Amino acid sequence: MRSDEPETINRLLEDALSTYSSQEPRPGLEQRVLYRVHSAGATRRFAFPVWAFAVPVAACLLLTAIVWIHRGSQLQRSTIARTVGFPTPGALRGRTETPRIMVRPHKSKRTKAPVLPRLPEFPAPSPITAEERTLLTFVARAPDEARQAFMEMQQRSTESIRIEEIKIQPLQSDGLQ
Amino acid sequence: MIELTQPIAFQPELAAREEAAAREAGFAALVERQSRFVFRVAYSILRHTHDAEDAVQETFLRLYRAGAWEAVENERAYLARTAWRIAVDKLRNRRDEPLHPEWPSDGESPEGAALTADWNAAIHRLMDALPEELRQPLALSTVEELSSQEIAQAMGIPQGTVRTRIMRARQILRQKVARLREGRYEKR
Repeated sequence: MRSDEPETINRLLEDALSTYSSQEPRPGLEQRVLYRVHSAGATRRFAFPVWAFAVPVAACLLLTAIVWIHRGSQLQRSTIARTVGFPTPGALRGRTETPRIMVRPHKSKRTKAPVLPRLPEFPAPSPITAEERTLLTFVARAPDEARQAFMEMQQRSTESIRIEEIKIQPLQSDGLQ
Repeated sequence: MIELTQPIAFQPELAAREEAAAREAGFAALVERQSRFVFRVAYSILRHTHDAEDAVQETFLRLYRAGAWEAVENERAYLARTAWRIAVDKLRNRRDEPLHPEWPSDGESPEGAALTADWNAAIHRLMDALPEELRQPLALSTVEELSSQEIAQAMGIPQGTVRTRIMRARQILRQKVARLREGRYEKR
């Protein structure tokens, strides 16, 4: 290696570094920058704000979804309520019913049940029904007939059930199978 | 003597228009003053004229939208930082593509450029092959009068780190140029 080699390398390196970023832009860069800035600024100034459209649309969608879900849950409840009963075959044969959707009116506020006072007797005595009242009237007017009817009913319920023996005739076979 | 029939009233619209015009003129003067500097910062990172011009436009657009160019203390440092960020983002987006410097001997290897005595092109290729963390501070140091402090501000790293990286990059380049001159450069 020559003695002046490090200096030569340094000189080459400095020359190269001084020209590394000395590239010139194409003519009219300033005009292009100003045009771009003003056009972008103008479009931004007069552009319709996206959120002004997006927010009401999102609110409408949310409202629709809430109403849809609420209606769905109400429909499910009314369907369950209608299928609890077991209709008799005769009743089914006699009528043809088209399914109807029953929508319960929406209760905006839940009414709180009033707190009843605690009673000393448990379970609390309930008022007599119409059948019980009729039975009491019958007993009061005709006690003998009532007693007889009661005894007959009791005797009928305690009698043992008799089942007749099932007799099945054996099959006749002529041996030609 | 002129007699005024109506009293002179303060017109806020006219004043606002004049103020806006003054601001526009101030911004145009800033673009005129600093666009070449911003271009060189972007070009030193991107090494592509069109991409660098895009970065310049984006830099000034951001500045305009921020609307705070009058309040900036050191506009060179501010612009260098913004341009460097935009350029690095662009470089990251084209990560798969190699740097493609636009020199007359484009496509030539450092060895080939050295053989044709185009030492500048050869060394530029060696610089382009440096790791980005070393190349970027060295490249920014080649931009007109950009001090290590301004480079540190632009890159968001300590000034000492900038100096160390520039020194390390120069050391690597010296070694590679020496090998090239001895005719035993090996492509890595």
